[in-house]
Amino acid sequence: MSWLLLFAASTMAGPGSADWRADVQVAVEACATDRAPCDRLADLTIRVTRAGWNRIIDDRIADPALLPLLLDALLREPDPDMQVPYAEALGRLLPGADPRWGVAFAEIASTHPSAAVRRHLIQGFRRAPLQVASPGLRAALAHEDLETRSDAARVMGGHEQAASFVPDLRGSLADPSPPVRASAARALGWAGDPSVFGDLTPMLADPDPSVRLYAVMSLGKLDPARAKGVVAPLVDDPARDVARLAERLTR
Amino acid sequence: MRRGGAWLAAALSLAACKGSGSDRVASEALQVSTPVVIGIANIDDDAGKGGRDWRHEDPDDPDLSRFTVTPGRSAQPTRFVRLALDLPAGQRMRVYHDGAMVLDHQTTEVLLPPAREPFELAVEFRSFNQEGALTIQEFGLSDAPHSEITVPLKTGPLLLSHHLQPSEYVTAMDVDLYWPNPKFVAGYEASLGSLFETVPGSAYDYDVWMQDAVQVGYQTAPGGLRVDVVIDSIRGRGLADYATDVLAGPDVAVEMWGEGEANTLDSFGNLEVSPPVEGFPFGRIYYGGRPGFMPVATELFDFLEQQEIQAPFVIDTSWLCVAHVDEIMAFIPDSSAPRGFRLVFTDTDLAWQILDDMPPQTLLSRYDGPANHNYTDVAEMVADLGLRNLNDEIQALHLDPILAQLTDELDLADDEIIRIPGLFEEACGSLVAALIPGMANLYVANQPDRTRLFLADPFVRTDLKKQDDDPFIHAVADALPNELELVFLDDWETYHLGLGEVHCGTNGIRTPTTDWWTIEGGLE
Repeated sequence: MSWLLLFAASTMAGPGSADWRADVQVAVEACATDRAPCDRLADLTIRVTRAGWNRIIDDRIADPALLPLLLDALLREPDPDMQVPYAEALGRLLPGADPRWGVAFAEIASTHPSAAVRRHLIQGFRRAPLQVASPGLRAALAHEDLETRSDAARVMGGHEQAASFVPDLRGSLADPSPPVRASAARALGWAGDPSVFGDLTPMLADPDPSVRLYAVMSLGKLDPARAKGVVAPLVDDPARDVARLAERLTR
Repeated sequence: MRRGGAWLAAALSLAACKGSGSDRVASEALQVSTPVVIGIANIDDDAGKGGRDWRHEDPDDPDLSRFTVTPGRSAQPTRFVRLALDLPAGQRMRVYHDGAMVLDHQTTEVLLPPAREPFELAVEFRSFNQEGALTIQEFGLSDAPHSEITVPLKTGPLLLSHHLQPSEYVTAMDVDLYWPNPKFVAGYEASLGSLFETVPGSAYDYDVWMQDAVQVGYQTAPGGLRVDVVIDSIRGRGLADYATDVLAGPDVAVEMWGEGEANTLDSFGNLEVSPPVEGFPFGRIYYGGRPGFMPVATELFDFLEQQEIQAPFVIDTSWLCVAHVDEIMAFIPDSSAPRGFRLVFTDTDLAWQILDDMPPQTLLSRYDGPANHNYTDVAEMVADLGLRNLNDEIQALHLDPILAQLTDELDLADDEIIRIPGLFEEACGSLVAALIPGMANLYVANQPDRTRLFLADPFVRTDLKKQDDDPFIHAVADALPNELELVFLDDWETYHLGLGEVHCGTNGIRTPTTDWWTIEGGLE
């Protein structure tokens, strides 16, 4: 690649081709002529949060030139504990990133071997444009790992266009894993589509208390008056949280 | 509540003074200057030799409990005095006489020459919650003592301080590199002066979470005996050596309970104490966890539980990314409150009320950008339906039930609760941390003439320098008692973005305010 091409690639705001890995590589190689972005990346402040995991706390991550370099750093990093700060920072960059990087985010969020990495990127989709969020969240919702599916369902419900995900979430109510069903039930309440009321009602009989809890919560959110009668039997639910919420709703 | 005279009478009945058999001719019986010898664990380092003073067996140690024995006056001459130490298995105490150790758990009997004049004995205790008895007998010509007295020996519990106790020392880390906190430190210094001291960040790997590293408690005994007990967390990290480096020394002991790889619940932002409530004159300990997710240092929490005096209870904090109880609430002094305190508790509905009333175009420069929270202005925050749903859910599923639990455990009345605005966001998967710097995560510094609360500056305004413009600050100032001075500190970069706030970054030592042995049940 000529010096001219390298320079052009390094100044682009987003990927220059359909293969995002090639675009990441172009950005990395561009450091041969202009080290500034790579130096900034190396100089980013990574701290241990109070919770004990590493986080990049540095205004300089807002620099668009750092995004492909962060992707590269994430993919090259062998230490799972150090993958987390890159993934978490990318999750924060995701909502404002050039939508053309969406393919990269979707792929990493649904294929990276680390559940923590997938989780942080999935979180980033919550405030991303629908066109960026949809492919990534839908791929994650089909992941074999139940926590990834649960994260995807949860984030779908928090998206500003959560209603777009209602069909996906309806399907997840039948997921074999209770955390996924619970996340889907919760997300359907957040999505605010009253047509799912009937889909949620059977979830009140789910054997898992967290599913029943979020079903009660969502039914109350979607139609408080109608929910009163439906959740009334759950005031005697063996799970204290469920009973308390049902009682509150029927009051 | 039983005080003074009543417990004295009860104790005197324990310290039975009696003559025996045919020798009951003493015109005046053996006497001791105290009905119960109450002491403190000699675990500090007054001697400056390193380690606990207990190891040094020093009869002149200032933390020994001293009392006077006045010989009886009998028709018979006393040939010798016998001391006998009665200790339950596993307990350790020492008795000193005339500058030498005469009794311990191995040597439980000693004969002393007869004394015509009052003489002094000193008792040294090794630990907390110890109970033993010392019998002093005077023997004449017969085999039976003509006079004897038995004195209970006792150390009290380890008590953890609460927020009504005066501050003697407040500390935070001085961070000059990487994520500096000059405004935070300056705010403390300007308000507290010499009461405040910093710890150099460079010495402790810039681990700013001072609250998490140590929990300070105390033990007291009559005669002004006091040892501050610094519980060193098994958390480790940068501040692992802080307690022994900085705090340990004369009158300050460092103790650690438990071992293993700590989880976040082992940090002491997750170990707090309520002010005194009915039945618990030293308050109640509360900490976060839930079944299946509890602190690793079970020895510590079991020990606190077994002491009973501050009866711990567990709050479900598992929904928080850091999972510490200090993230959502604090107790503050208020002389106008029914019991002298109020609970400050986070409320998300209040936060939305304030935000909804703000001009939507209000720029939120602190929140802007991916290095912060990605909210440019108020409009963007209030329009985020996912954020609103999340906080509604937190209120209903977590905050309201916790408040109900606190109300039940501490018998709180409605007017003892002050709700202040706060919002959370998902920070590690489905778990949450403060979006608006958590103002309930506050530090109380009280002195006899003034009480100051140090809270996080919420920065819900455009001009960062103008705290007067901030409706969240106004709301909190209006809600909190007028007698308190409020200092809103800039904790954004060093603490807030690291998932903590003001209380997390501060620690201190407080003055014991009540003598445990004067409280009903204290000596039982």
